[in-house]
Amino acid sequence: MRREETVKLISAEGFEFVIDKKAAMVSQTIRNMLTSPGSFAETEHGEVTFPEISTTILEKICQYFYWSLQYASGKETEFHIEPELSLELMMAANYLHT
Amino acid sequence: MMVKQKVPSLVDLCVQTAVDNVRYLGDVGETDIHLLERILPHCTVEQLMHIENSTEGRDLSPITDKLWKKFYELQFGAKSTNLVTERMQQKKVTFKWKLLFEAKTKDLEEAQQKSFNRIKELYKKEDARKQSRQVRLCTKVPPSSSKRSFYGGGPGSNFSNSKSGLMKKAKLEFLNSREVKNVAAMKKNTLQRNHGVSSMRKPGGFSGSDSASTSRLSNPTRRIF
Repeated sequence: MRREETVKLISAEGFEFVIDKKAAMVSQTIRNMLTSPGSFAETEHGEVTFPEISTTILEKICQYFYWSLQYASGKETEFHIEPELSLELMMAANYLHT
Repeated sequence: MMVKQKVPSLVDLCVQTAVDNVRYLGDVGETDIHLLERILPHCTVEQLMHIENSTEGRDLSPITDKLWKKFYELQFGAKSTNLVTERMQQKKVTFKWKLLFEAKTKDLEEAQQKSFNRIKELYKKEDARKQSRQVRLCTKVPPSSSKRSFYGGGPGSNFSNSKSGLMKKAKLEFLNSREVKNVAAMKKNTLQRNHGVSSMRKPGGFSGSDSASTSRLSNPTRRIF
């Protein structure tokens, strides 16, 4: 995996998730952050920090990104969400436009 | 290039999960209004009540008021709902439908409880009435039947049964009268004679036929009234 093709997503607790740029782009918000000129402060060096999103949620979001790519390529499986995460995950997903 | 199929968004998936698990929802915190509007209509009365009570520091009524109105109508009928709406318009006041729902439910419960109690009382009364009319064992012994005897046959007569003093006197007089005394005396004699003849035998003449002699001698002891 080439360094340029990845991004780093950082949670509120400081956990770093390194994922494919392609996966990250599933989120409209992140896509905007990474592609627009005159970038956001969060996107310095291909890193995006999310101070309001907890580690557990961010991890789940990354999982979703990959699942989404898989689904789009024809492999339709089920994406299971733990009920206790559903509300928080929903709000984060809403924020990320994903 | 792959043909992109419609991938379900994470938001949609989360909404679906929340709807499936709505019974576990409590404090919905800062969840977006338009997201709540997708989820809360799936609640029952109890679930919605629980969520609103758990979500402190946030008024959910912009979303839930119409839901409570719907519950009110389901529970109490369209007529009642319209009546309430009219009244509020007339008096130019607005009450939250959640409040109206709770108040009406309480009223109904109280009225029901009242009528239950009333029915209970009625049953109690009826029971008590039945109990009082029951056949019960008593310890008193009924008085023994009195056998009235007017012709007692001499000294055996019992005139204590007579209630009337007059009758008592009359009876006494009769029993002490000559006739009764005579009869009694004759009876006595007969008994004695019968015994006497069998043991006394005159030598010579009368030996052998005891029975004959007794029968002859007993003839004169006929009762005379």
